[in-house]
Amino acid sequence: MASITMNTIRKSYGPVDVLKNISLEIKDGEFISLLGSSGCGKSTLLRIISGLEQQTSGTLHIGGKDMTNVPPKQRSVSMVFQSYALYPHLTVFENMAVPLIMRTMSRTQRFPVLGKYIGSARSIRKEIRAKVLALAESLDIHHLLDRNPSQLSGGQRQRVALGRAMVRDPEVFLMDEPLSNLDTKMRAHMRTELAEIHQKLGSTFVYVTHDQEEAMTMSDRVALMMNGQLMQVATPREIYRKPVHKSVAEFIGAPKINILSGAIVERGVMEVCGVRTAVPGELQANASLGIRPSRLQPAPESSGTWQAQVITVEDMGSSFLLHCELSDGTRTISRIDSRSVVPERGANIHLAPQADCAMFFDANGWNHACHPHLDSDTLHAFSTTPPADSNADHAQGTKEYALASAV
Amino acid sequence: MHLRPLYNRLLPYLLSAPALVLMFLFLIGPIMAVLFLSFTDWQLGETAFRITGLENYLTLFSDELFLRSMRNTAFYIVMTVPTTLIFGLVGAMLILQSGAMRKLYQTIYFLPFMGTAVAMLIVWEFVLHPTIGVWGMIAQWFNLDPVNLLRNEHTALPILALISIWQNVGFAIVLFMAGLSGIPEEMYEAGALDGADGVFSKFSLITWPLISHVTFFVFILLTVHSFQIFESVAVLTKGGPNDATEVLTYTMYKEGFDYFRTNIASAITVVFLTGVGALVLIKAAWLEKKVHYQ
Repeated sequence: MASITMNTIRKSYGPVDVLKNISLEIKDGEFISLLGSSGCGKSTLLRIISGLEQQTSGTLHIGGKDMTNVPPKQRSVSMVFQSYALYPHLTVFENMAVPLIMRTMSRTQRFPVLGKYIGSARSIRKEIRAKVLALAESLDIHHLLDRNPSQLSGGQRQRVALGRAMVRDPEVFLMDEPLSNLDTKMRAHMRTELAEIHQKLGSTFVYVTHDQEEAMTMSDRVALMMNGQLMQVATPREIYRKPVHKSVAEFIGAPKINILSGAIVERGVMEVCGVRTAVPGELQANASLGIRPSRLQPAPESSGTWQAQVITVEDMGSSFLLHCELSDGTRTISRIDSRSVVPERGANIHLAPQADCAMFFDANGWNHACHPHLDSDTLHAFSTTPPADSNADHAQGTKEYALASAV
Repeated sequence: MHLRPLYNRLLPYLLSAPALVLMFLFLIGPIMAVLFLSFTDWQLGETAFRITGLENYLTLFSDELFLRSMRNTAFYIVMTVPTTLIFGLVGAMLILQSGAMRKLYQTIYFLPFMGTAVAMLIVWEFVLHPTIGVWGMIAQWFNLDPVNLLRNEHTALPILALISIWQNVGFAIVLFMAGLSGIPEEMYEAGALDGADGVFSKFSLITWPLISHVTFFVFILLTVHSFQIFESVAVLTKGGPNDATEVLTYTMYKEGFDYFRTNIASAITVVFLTGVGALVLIKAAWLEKKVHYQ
């Protein structure tokens, strides 16, 4: 088993910096997701861990050993590719056996026909066979062993790719969007399966995805990346509830968080769409307020509610999404329970934000409640330290501000 | 009232008729005629002929010159095809690594294949000339006896093979390059993680199996091409010296157009067509079944 430590890793292609000073510590046996939109550098980071690419500067340690200039095959890592990258000319059995054959047999022993008479080639092949068969059994692909990848469905290929990665018991599993080629149903199924495999093996999993649902449901921690930087590394719960930056808050959560711009009318008082709110005194001009759709609900008119007009209503089955327009033209989304009374399109209603769940972002977008007074560099360092316990609440001592009634 | 269905039924035949007529006139017709003539004693200019059965073939297979041209053709194929294949593959792999110069190399290697064969062969004749050619100069530098390579029984056919390799290697390179660039980069990355990161292990695990269809295609094409060797013999050696470069197509040409023995020329053509046809059939059957795995 192995931990992974990255220290100020930078990767640039010519003048373009793809990764900018990434420092991240992944604990032994942890399931961490690198989450971000395409082009944010998450796959590049994964490829650096795998050894398929070299960092421009910075250090990478796996299991305490410096991995600079160590070729991929000498790192105890396995990778599952987005396209699975199965060898099309080999059967499922042969695909799964390749990592073992390449590692345990000499070049002469691998030689076709004659190779099996050299040294202990036969007994090695026998061991490999036994291992592949046992693994295939546990992955429920034993009936596919004689088939070629082209004869398999997406889910089956996925399993074979997993099998090929698992067969040599690596300490670290790297996965590059492995579920993105599957249909929704299969994806949900494989998600559970991957989480189970992680629990069973106890290896370190680094999982790259652009799908926040995958990241949130499977991971111990989520590392959110944007423009080649780590924005926040935290448990799924924490990253959702206490995003360090407005962009993190906007990326995590579907539907997207409502961001309402406000004006600081006097020290400690912000006015958002006609409603005055008590805010931390340090907040300066151009601050904004964030409220999750599930925390913005229709309510009877009061001094703390916003007047809104319903633009559209989307029926999601278990809930409704209410798209509204506030009196100053700001668009909001509310998620309301399917059992509650649903306003009609065009209706004039009032929306009340749930007091203790509002977030305040300063002019630079940083979440004031999470990290007051910290500059961006310090924030960065803070956000990448792993928690001693995945359930630890890092926000201890941070202040949460309640929305007050109109002053 | 019943015209419409009839028209619909005839339409496909009407539409394919022009192609069928042309194919019959210029391909199937001549092949049938040659096949028929090979069983007769007809010679060019004669007004009558009689059916002689397999006599022409019996004559052919007991004729030392024909057997020699068969052997020469086979030997020529053995010399040219594997060498062109290997140089083509290695060249394609090197060119793909060459980055910015890729297009330039590709063009340079492909030029001999695009050029006019006869013009280039005349240049080769000059290059190989023992007194006024490049070969003569080189031999002088190294104090060698500048033998006339094209007039020497032992060197003439290998020299023709060398010219063919020079001419066709660019063609093989282009096809191999297409095949090699079709291999997804992820295959090599998966290979590197699985432990195949050396040149040989990468080649045997990934490259070679994944271009097997291209290799086979190039192999058949080059073999057919070598089977058809004619220009270089006609321009440079005329089958000599001492029949050392007598090949199937040249023998066929001589029988038909020098000696006007159309019946014998037809029989040689049938033998030639059988060889090429067999190769094409193997290609069709094998390529679809064995090599195509996706």
